Amino acid sequence: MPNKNIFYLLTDSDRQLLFAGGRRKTYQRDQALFHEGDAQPDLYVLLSGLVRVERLHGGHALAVARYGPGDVVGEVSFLGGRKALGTVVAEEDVEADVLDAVRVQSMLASDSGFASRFYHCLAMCLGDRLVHIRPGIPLPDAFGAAGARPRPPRTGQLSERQFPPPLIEGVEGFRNAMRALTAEIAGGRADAARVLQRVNEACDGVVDLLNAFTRDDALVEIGMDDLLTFRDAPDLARGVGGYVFRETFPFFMQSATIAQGYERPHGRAEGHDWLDRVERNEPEGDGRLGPLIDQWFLGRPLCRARRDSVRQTTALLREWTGEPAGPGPLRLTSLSAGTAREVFDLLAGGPRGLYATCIDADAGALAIDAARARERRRADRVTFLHADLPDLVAGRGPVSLGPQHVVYALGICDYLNDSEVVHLLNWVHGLLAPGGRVLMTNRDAASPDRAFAEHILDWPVVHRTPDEFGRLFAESGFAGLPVEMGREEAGVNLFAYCRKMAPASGAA
Amino acid sequence: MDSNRFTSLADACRKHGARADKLEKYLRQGDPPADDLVALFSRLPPGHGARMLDRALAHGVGPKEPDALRAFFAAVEDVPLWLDEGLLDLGSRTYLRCGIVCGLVMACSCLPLAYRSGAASKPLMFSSQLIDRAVRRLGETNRFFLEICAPDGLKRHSPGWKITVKVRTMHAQMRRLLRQGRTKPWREAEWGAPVNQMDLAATSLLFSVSQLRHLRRVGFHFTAAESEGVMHLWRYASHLLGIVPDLNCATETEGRGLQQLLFDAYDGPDDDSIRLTESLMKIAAPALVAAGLPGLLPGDAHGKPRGPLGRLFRDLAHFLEPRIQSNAFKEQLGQFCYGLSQGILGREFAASLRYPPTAWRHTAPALLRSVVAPLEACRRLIPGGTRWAVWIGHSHLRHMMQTRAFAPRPSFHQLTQPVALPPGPTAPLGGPTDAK
Repeated sequence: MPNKNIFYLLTDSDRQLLFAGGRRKTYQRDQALFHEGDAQPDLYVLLSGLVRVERLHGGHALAVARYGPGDVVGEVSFLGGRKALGTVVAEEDVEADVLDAVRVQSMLASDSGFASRFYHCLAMCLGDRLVHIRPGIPLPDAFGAAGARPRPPRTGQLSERQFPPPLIEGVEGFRNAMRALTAEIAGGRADAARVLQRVNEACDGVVDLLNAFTRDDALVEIGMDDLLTFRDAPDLARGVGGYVFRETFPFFMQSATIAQGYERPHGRAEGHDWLDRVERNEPEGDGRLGPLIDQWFLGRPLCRARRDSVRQTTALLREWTGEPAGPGPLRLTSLSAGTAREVFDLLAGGPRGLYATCIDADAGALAIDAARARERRRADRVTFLHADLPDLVAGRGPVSLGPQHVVYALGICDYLNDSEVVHLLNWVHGLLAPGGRVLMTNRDAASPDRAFAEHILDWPVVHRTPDEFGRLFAESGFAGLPVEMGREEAGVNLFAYCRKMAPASGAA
Repeated sequence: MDSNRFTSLADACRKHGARADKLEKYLRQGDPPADDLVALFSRLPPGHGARMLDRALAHGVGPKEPDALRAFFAAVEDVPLWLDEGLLDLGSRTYLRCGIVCGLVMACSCLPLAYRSGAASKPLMFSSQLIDRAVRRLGETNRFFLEICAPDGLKRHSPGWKITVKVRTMHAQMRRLLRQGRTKPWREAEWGAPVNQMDLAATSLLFSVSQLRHLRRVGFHFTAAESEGVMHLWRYASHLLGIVPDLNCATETEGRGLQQLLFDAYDGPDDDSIRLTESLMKIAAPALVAAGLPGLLPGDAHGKPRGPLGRLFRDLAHFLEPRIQSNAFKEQLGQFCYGLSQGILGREFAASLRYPPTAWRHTAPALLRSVVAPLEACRRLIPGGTRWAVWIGHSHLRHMMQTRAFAPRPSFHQLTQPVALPPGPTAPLGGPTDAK
């Protein structure tokens, strides 16, 4: 029997009476317990296995919750006497006690004491679930609340005398070069290869300028040039970046990838569409220069790193999932899954018993991924779960994930502060089966495109050195375990992976 | 070349005994009220800190202002019991009457002394601007000096007082910024705190004790009262700059003793000291002199000429100015500055900062003395001569600060009041103001 017991307020005789009329049923993987829109379904008390609650989004079924042993499903429809709000599907072999709704209703009508205790139990259960619904107000806890970092304004950080003349000259040189190239292309006297080379040189020049003048020693010097502005180095960096941003904006925003990265149509940096665009690597843009600038950007380490990361992650996952595992399916979870390309690549040639859960807060992105899974005939092996990671980590999500063999997240640590990363790692540690592995990436402090991402794309990214990233593992549940650290080829992302210790008794 | 100030401090402790023991504390000590204030400003939106400071400088602080601001202004508005306004006035007039020579001696002898310690000059090396824009920095130092020395310059609400308080916040901001460097970190364990109490006191002594000594060497004469006035002026300025009372000297004798102790506690010059001195001697000091020389002509040469003599001065000024501003002349001025510096500070000191050999080392101090000493003699003999010397010196310094060589304006834009002296045939003093 499960440890969790939502009917803990019932007396023994209540419980006997309630379950006496129930039927114990088993469901096979992917079998629905009931469907969205079914007339008042029965009450299901889960005894073993996991079920997911699916709702349709854009024509695709997305998981919105996952329940395990001890949970009850069908309770909302039972209470309201309404049609089922979602489809409940067995994720694995499930055993459940099915309580006939009509019979329970008649018991409630005949015994007021039982009714009071029963409703109290359901009210407690629903109360727990209500907590998971966030009305847009951040809850005051360690994870999530600290993530809202106010960013200093771009303007007013530098006084007139603090703008370094070489920076001004460099940016002016970029603008002139771009104007000249536009005129040359318009005049039809430009050689395509040469134009592309000059675009690359000019744009690389801006990145070099940003890198040079947002280094902390340069910022100290800028700060010293007018001490009465009373600005700290990060504010001065924002001022330098803001200047370059303003001056180069009309040119860089002709690139489709840069513009999309900056605009963040769904409110997230590195959203699904942007990642998809980078992975496709097909330059697009407006005007004469747009496609050329886009081509330059797609060739920058920042974009190459995304493609490299997918490849490298797939290789690692393939290696780990190829190792002999215990009985039962091999479970893998991708946090903030994005395009989930590495999951699809893995499923294309991975072991047959592998099941993946892709969690993301972007329902639209998950719907696209779900459609892709169906196209590739992999829908039966992937669950797309719509949930906010901070909620899950804080234990607020209506989700039971069950023991996982691999949990990984590409890029999520880039947007979390240190304590949030430690919370995340602790949560992952709890999620992993003994011997399971975690893989996390973080933007490297030495990333060559750090300043461009921060100041032109305006991404509030947290960069870390290998030491800083490793220290977070040491502060988490993975303390004392060896953490392997690596970089992808472009030198933008750090890869850190670690294996949860198997219990001593289980060691061969 | 690495500098470790604590090693040389230990040597000084051996030499000076218990008296030097405290220096280690001061080498590590910044200025807590000012440090707290800039920490507050850094948390405010851009521009708010500077505006808050300007408002407080102009109108004082109210009870609702932040604690850090109130604590800082309580410190700077505190008037010490020993303050004597008459002595302050005498001190300022003593320096003003030295005119351009005061600036020249400061640039050629006091500042190289400040650069003598490799570690103490490190804060300046973190800004390559001191080398690239040495002229502007020297202009700022001169302006600070001038505003302090202006009549009533250190009275509350006067420009000199406000600038001094601003300079204190600038030191604190410099301290804060230097500690934020990671690529080129501030090595606190070796260098002490940036802009620490010991260095602040040493700089103040350069502007008082050393300046008096070096001005005497080029022919100026100071009475005991004048010396006391100068020391008093810098004692109060040091109080405003946040220097602890322990390091704030009341008399020249006291100052000389402390200065010797501090010099003994300093490490030697390093490559940075040499670079700083070179930029000062080759670029900034010649620019200062070149900017000051045309001002030696009577006022008519620069304004609307009156009479044939006025036209003559104007024509002479027009003739001289391009020649004075030429690179060849400035190069010679640079050699002159090296010579003057070596003449005042000695051959051994010059060798430690790798001064280039120059024939001016004998002639520059003698030449300056041959001009200054007779004028000083006249001043002392002629009734009202000192008042005239103050008026001429001040107007000349002010004229110099308004020349193009010192543009753009220093960051502490302030207005000084013209000297109310003396009745004469020429135009009023002060010239165009730079108030904001």
